[in-house]
Amino acid sequence: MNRSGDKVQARVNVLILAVEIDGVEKRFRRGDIIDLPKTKIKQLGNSVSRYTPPAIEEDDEEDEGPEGLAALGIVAAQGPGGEPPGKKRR
Amino acid sequence: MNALAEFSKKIDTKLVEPLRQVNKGRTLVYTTPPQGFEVSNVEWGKIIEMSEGMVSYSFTSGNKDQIDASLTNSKVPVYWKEYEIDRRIFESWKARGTDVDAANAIAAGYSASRVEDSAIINGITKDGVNYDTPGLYQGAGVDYDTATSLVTFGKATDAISGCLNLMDDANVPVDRIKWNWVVPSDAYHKIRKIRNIQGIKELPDVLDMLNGGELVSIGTTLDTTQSVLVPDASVGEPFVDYYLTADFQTDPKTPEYQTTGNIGGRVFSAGVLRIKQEAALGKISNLTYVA
Repeated sequence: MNRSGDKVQARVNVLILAVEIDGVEKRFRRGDIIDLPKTKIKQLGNSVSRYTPPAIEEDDEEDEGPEGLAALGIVAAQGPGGEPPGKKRR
Repeated sequence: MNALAEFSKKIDTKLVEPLRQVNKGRTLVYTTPPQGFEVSNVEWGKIIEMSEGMVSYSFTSGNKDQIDASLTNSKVPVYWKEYEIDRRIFESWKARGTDVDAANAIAAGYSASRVEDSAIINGITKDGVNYDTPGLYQGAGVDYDTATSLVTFGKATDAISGCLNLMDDANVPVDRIKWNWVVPSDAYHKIRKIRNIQGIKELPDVLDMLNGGELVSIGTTLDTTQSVLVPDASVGEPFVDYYLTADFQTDPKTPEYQTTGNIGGRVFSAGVLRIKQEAALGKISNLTYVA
């Protein structure tokens, strides 16, 4: 979760939201993800909801390489059908 | 006519008018004629987004999907409260020919009416956070959350202007609509009394901005920080209505004992708020009472 100070991320649920952030009025539209203080999220009620970004699986480079794939039985490590040692897939 | 039927009929005649006087939710939106208590579920189209219209010198194809509407479905809630009257008191009224005192039933009716008001104005919730059926406030599509101090002259009009501006940007014809500003009692009295240092009241300006609409106090149905701009019932039907299935009425309870059992029943009504275009409801959600 992306945190800055006591702020948390929230998703805007209403069509248009005008809210003061750090003393400045800002406008947002439905679906926007914004940083808000926790207390503000509570005060805004169902106009916003806490947003948790979807978890992204971290790729293990070792497993992506031919050795890793070979270990999974997907490609041959070297030779015909394999890739030169040390070359990493991106 | 037996005691129960007689009592129920008298209560019904005494109940409906007082409840119509105190009920505020129904006055804020167009209310349908009662559709029948047996209606337990209702569906309606909710306009999500209106795509651009077309301009041309002859009609062409390709403009059929002007309205992006999603079908919304809701159960129709029942608002109710039970009451009871001591049988000996009732028999005494009958014996003396005194008019039946409907105070208990009317008090029960007021409770049921307050619950209905809350459902229309705020919404129906079990946990205070998630709303099964949003009311005017919880279902509003626009939220003007800038801090609005109601003890500072000019802030109320700033807030109305700001909220109408947001709705205007959402393609609601705000300048053609009469608006009612539904506020909690604290806000209502602050707005009515505030004057600037020259003694000029802000209320006329507030009413002017509402295009002929009114400032409406709904007591404590909303929190002191919350309020909502609602199109007047006379023009608001395309945006929101109250689908009434049963008007206030009583249903008598069979006494436990034929001649000595207490007489009672329940007062109830049923209906659901249908928000068809959420952009036409604007929250002003950050009212404050400090300068």
